[in-house]
Amino acid sequence: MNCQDIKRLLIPYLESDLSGSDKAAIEEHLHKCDGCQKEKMLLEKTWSMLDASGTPQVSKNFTENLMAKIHTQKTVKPEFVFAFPQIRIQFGFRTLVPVAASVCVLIAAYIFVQNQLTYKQQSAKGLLPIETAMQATKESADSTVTKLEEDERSGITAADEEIIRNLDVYEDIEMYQNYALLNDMDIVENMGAKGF
Amino acid sequence: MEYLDDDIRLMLRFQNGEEDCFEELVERHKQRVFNIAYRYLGNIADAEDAAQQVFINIYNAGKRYKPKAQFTTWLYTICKNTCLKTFRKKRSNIVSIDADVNLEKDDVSLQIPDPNAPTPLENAIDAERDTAVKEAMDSLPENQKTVIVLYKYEELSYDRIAEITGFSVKAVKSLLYRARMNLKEKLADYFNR
Repeated sequence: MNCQDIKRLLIPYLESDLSGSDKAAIEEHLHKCDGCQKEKMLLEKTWSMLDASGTPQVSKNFTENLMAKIHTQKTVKPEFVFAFPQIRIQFGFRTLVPVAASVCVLIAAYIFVQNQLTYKQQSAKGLLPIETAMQATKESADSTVTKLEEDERSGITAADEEIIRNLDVYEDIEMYQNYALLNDMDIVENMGAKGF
Repeated sequence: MEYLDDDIRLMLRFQNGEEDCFEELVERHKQRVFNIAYRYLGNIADAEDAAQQVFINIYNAGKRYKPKAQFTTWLYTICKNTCLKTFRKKRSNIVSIDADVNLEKDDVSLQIPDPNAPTPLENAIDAERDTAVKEAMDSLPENQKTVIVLYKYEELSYDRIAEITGFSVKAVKSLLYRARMNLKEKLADYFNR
């Protein structure tokens, strides 16, 4: 074994954690190598240096102070602990903020995906024109309301408004009932326009 | 396997509502817990706070305690975790290890019993040595420091340290090797002055 091997084994040697043959080889090497002998002495000195400073005694009223602290904690600040058999999580502001943010992101992602799926399903079934029609109806109804308000100012009574509103609803219902027919007619018209 | 040493019996009785048993456990282990905390943190006030926190954690965890190993294994594990947590908090306030160190009443050197009435020069040498040791220990990575505290100061076997830390015995030996090499590097200057 060379000096590098010996230095690598010095700590196990000092810990008596080597086999008999390695131990003998190291001892033999140490007798004739000043450098490795110095290294061994430095390891021993630094190790024993840790013992040099003593440990003070714990204070006499340690237990008394501890029990007072425990009882104060019990009465003043009950700990909010979420405990599984082996897991203990203490909720605090630092824990809740990222959790809340994650939940918000997940909800937003869920809503987005759901909307995309619904849109794809509806476009696959050809339902989107109905949406357009309903939107148009809503806009028309809004403008009707505005018109009625204007009419009211110009002398139309509430009974008249009711009749007008019912007529609009009947028209809408009729249009939805004949939607398939109207759609076919649009297609035929478009075909005619394109020269089929 | 169920262990039933005296500590475990006390702990089980504490679980059944006998608070006196908890106080007895504190009395039995307070010095040991304090010693470990002191080795991690280096001053009396912090060590005493950390030691109290260890027992508070044991008190709070009392209902969930199950005697799966020696009580002291559990105690050491809680102690190690609490001390490391305190040390991390404290480290954020620590200035560079090259900065001048002013020893105060809680520092290591002034707590040493002094039966032979050393001279001021000897005091100064002791203080310098203790500061060097403290700085060298503080410079160790947490795992190496833990192994040194448990092996050197608590004189625990590799197996017990492995049980407490959750490392393999081989990893414990490796950490001890690196810790000793690091300490040698850090403290070599002290001998070369």
